[in-house]
Amino acid sequence: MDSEPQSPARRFGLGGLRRARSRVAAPGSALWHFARSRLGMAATVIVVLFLLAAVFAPWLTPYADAGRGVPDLPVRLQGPSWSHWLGTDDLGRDVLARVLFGARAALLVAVGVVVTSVVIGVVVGAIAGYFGRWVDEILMRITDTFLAFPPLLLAVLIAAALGASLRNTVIAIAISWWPWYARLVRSHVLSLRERPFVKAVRAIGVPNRRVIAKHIVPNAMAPVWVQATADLGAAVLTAAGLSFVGLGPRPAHRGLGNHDLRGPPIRAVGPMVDRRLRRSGHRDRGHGLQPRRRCHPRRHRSPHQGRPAMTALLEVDDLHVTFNPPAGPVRAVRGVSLQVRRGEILGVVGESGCGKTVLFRALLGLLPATASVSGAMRVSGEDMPTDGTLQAAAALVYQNPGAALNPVFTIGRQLQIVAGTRDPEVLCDLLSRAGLVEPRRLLGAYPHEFSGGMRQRAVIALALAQQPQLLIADEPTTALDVTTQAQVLDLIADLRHRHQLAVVLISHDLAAIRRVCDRVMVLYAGRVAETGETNEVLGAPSHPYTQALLESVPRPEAVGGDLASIPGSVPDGRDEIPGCAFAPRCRHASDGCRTDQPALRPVQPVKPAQPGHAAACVLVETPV
Amino acid sequence: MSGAGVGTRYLRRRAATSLLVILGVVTITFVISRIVPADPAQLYAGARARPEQVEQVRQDLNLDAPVTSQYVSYLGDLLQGDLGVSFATRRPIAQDLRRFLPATLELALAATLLSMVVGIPAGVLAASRQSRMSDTSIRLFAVTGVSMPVFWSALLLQLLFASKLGWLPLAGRTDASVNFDEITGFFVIDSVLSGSWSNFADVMVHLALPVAVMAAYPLGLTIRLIRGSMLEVLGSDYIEAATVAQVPRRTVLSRLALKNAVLPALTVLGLTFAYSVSSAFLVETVFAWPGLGKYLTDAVVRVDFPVITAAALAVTVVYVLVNLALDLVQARLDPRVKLG
Repeated sequence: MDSEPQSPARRFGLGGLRRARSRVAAPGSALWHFARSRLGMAATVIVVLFLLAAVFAPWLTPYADAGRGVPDLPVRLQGPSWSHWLGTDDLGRDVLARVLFGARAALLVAVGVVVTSVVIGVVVGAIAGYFGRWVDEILMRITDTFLAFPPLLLAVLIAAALGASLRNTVIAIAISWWPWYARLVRSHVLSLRERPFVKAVRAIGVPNRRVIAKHIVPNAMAPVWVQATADLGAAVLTAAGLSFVGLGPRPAHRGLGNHDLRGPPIRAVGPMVDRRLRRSGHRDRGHGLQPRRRCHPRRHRSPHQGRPAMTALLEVDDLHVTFNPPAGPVRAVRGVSLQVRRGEILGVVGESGCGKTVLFRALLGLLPATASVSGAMRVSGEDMPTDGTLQAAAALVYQNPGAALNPVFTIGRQLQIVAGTRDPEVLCDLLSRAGLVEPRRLLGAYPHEFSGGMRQRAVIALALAQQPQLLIADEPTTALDVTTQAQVLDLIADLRHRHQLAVVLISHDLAAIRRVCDRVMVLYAGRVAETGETNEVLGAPSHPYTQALLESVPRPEAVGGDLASIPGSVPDGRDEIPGCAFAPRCRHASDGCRTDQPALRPVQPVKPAQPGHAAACVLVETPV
Repeated sequence: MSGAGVGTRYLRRRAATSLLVILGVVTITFVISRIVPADPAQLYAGARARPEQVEQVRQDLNLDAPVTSQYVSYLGDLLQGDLGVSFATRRPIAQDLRRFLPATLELALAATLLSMVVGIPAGVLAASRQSRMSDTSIRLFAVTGVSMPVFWSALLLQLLFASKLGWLPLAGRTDASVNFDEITGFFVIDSVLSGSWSNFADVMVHLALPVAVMAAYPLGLTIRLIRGSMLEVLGSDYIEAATVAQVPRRTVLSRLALKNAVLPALTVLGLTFAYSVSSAFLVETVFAWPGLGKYLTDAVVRVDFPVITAAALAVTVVYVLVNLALDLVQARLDPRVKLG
């Protein structure tokens, strides 16, 4: 992770440029991203050149007759020369002209195959998906049977039965391809059929044929176009294969497949280049989306005993996290300081997008390499770089325990790998400490055999296997039902006492925070709004944002009244916020709030060696 | 989890579906061969047949009878292993297939094996070094593999390794001088059984070029598939959790992530075998490889229609069976696949 702040030039100059450009060319669209990349640009240019060459072939070469297959025996088998750039073949025909005309045939076949198979596939798929039941059953069994043939083989068989010609080549390939489209369309129609707008037009008696044609098919076409584009290239290759075994278009319309065989192979380079480049459009997408991960050598973790309970395990000073997407920097965390002590649970609350998860993922080094992190971090009083070194001391408990467990390994195996031991006693002990009964049986079980609560306990067992000093639980109870939520929270509270763990509980569930947290930190727009002991902050909130948060919690005694919500939304991370971030939504805000950023001020007299109750609001009057 | 009983039930149900598919395949083949052509008798007898020969064929194949009774007798013949007679050679097709099938399978299995042994590690490597030099070159290699027409790469490799360098033989399964008993029809096995090291070496050098050509497409496919599913797995919470737990990167890649990435890809990897079989027409023709593909191509050139139909049917049945086997292997390995 790049912990150094970025140069101003990169931050403003380039970012501004990028933003300016993005306004012109609809940002975010797939086409825009594709055309922006150098490879995408090159591929587009080549495809366009190819299309132009195919369409204008008769005007591009003086040997149009040769391109159509007319022999010119006196000049047979010549090497490349000024008058014949790629030489001539065994019948004296100009190879370049043949390549250009071959491209015409290839284009014709490709378009013909794709159009034919899309039409058949869409009709069959739409009918099967729309009518369902036995219609679907019969059509899909037929489709599956066609799919059982190896792709080229069915085309060979059909072409052999029909006889070789350009038209029959198209028919043969299309018949072996339509099932793919039928399946694609059917699966989309199945879900479209249940959508309200389709149910509505059916209810008012629009005939089925019109429903399918007007309302179903147009909405199911998007994935078909994607597949069809990719298939254009494959159609050319398949037609070339058919030509090769003698089942392609007759000599009058040669595909690219069959004129490369006689004469030295250099002649075949032309068609080869065409084909390869046409396919270069189908490259993998998705690079740059995955966070880059690092692995640090396993550090020796100091045992927990022998330290006073109330020293700060983790201290963070003035942490900033900025993401740098092409559209311009997004400031997710804007100067947060915090500390967590051993044996203490710190609750972190705030609306979605206020930076609570990003803050700790940054400390763990789990952000994409493009994010920049700055600030200071001390673990057990020792200065540490903020690029993931916290991993050595911390374990993470996830919101969705189903996704945090590897689905194809048993719980025992996963514990083994993390704990670095095969000793079943140790592994069983970990499961028991996480509150799982019959641990020995569970070691051999897979995650999908567990209930939601058991999975979260298994995730906690995996966390304990790392012998952490700090446990970071990111919304650990959101995916669980209410009774299980309480049990998991109590388990975390209990583990904190037993192992003198420092715990960070990230949540927007204020009830959960109140239940187990010793202290709480309220984040807003990447800044600390209020912090202090849980009963002080949640009992007597000083910051208007905390007050608003508390008011928006539904209360049983207030049944019937309106549920309070905070008007407006969290400010955009792309904007500079000169004053208090909450000012636009705050009912107490004055002009000063919008221009000057309030500092965190103590709400109560500061006790020594312990962070007290503080809020970042001008309304707070510090008692003396 | 699955007891033996449940597993057997899955196997039985899956086998029954495959049988239905094979019946469907036979039906489609029947329709294409008897109903689609304007005059099947003419097609079967060949373009240069005399009118009385065409009549003879019409009677032999019962082509004047109603379609249903033709279909029944077609199925009956197939069940008895009777695939008809080649019009070009007058040999029973079933006998020919027995001879040519092992040659093709040997080629296709070797190509599939090669594409997996090379493709899976390459895909993992590419995914783990996303967007870096090695990733880019592996992806370039993969794109080249899936884009090259088989007959073109075959000709170029022949030109380079056989004609110019003379390192490898131009074509064929063995040298004319080499001789050993054909016991299984798989020359790799037969040459080992013959006990002669030079026989085995000769078989292997003859395999090299055709296998390399045949593997190009499936290899590219495998690399892209594994890279894609590996990237997806590497982005998951459980891999991140392992990283936070400081499980070494090597263990994460080779033990934790790989199994997740390969299992769902397994069914699709069945396609690699299909592509190998499909490209057998082209590869075997270029390398004069006496297999099913060459047999089929020769039949196409001679318009020997009974052979085309029977060979297509045989290849498809093999393909269905391979997919069945792959599904069963996947069900065995992947705990998430519900057996039942």
